[in-house]
Amino acid sequence: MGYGMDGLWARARRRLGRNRGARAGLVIVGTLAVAALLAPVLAPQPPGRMDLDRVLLPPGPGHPLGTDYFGRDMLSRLIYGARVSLTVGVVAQSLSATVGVTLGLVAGYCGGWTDLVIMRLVELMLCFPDLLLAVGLTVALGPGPYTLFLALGLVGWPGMARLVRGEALALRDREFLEAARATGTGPVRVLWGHLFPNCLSPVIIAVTGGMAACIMAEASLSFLGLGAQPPTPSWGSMLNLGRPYLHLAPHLVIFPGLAIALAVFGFNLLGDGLRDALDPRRSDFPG
Amino acid sequence: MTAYIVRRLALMVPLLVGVSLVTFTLLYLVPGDPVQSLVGERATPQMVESIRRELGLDLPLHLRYGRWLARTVRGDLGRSWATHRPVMVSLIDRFPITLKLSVLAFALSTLLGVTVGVATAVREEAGGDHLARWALLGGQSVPIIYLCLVFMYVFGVWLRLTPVSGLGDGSIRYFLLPAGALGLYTSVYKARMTRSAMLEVLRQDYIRTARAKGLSERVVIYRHALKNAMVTVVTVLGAGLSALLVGSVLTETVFGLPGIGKLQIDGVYARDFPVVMGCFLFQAVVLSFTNLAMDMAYAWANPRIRFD
Repeated sequence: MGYGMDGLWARARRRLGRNRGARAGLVIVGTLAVAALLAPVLAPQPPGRMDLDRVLLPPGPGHPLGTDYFGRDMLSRLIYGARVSLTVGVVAQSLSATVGVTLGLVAGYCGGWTDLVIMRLVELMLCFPDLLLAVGLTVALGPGPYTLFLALGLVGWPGMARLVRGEALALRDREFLEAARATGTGPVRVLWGHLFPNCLSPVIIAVTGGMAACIMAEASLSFLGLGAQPPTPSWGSMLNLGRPYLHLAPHLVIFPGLAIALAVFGFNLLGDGLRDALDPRRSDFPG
Repeated sequence: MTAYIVRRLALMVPLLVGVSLVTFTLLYLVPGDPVQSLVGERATPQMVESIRRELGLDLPLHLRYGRWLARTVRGDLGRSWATHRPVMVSLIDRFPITLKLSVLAFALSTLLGVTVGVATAVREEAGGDHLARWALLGGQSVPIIYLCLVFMYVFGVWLRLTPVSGLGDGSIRYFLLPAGALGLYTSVYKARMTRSAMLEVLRQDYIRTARAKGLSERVVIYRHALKNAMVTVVTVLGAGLSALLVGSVLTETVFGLPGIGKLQIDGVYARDFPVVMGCFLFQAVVLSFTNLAMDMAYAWANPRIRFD
């Protein structure tokens, strides 16, 4: 790394601004965040208000995206659904990033037995297909918002730990760490103050990609009835509960599905753009 | 090579024990009384107690796990609490359905993924735009459940070309939609990987040499570039297997195909622990073996790799 941190970030910002995909991703993610934060202001109706005289209405005046089987406004429910998806994503990713980064740094920096034990644990966790592990955890803890956070958080950490360990392993014998140790810096300070900042860019890229994966996983779990419980307006459970009306009112399925795809696409675009900006070596953009 | 395979097989044992231990502990943590939900409201306390003893639920965790492990190594996964069928029999019964779905989807996704990956890489290398890159990224953002429902609506409800869901008589017609959706879903990742591997290879000097000596573009792309790009692609096929497994669980659930995935999710709903446990173990075994097979395919594709 022949440049200082400032150089890296300034260059990253410049590259990110030039990247059309990243800009589009930022717009999508920003829109979703605004929708989630301002849901009570933006939603035309409370998401739970029923009107049994106006059920399964197709999109039209009054209800831009139609109504569901209880006559609830689809647009309002989708806006509130952004809250569920983003909250689950942010909380679960914070959890898995904290656990994964800590264990990865410790494993890579300490090596020896610590590394061996942590990495065997990581391999064990990676033996479970991710979503199915979350299903198992949901069965054990009972469905609910906290289970969702915990299940998706626990699913994400092994990948993060493996990634950070690799970075830490590559850096542990470098001179700047040697210098820090030589001047009497304690091990905790070396790990978090010196090693961690140098592993930051792959972590940021992984967290962005992880948000996309979390939103997808939340939708799948809620679709199976193991995630957010009704009447919470989660995109996944809307997809599931709209399923019986597929032939009568396909808009019950089409719009929540598009919402999930759009949110995931936004984070994917952003993650891809960040990878190009922060880690030019791994870019699949020639030139 | 033989030594390597033996070592990998030996390493699989502690991993599988670990998987079963984690799953067992998870299921042990389940709140509420599984027996009460099995027998319903009208059972007398004595009945509940005797069933609990019969199922071994009165024992502490380590004894229950020990009993379970001793039976499992003999190939007996216990009986379903709900139907009393041996779990092993259910797994064997349903395996052909999951296998048929997975093999069809895998074939479709590999064919589609590699073709699209090569085509987009060649186009981009010839000075095209990055449109394909965005399109593939967008494709990867569509959840499998949504893809299944869209397929159902378009081909089953709207065009009426195929049955909407279920297994019917088990003929191939009932597998077209699920395998199509699952194949399309898993093909996007393969297309992206093939595309970036091809772009990497097409930049190499030997490709320029091949072109310079006047070989036709077809020979350059397929014989020189694709063959080398496939080394990378074969490695990532392994990573795709886990996605295929998860995808098949969701696809079976949406389409009501009675495969292993549906068995597992139904077991989760009914809190039928022996069934859930058996399915988890089955998936872990399948995943371990396919990963080993993928690593061997990798060695076969890339003669530079040696295992000892």
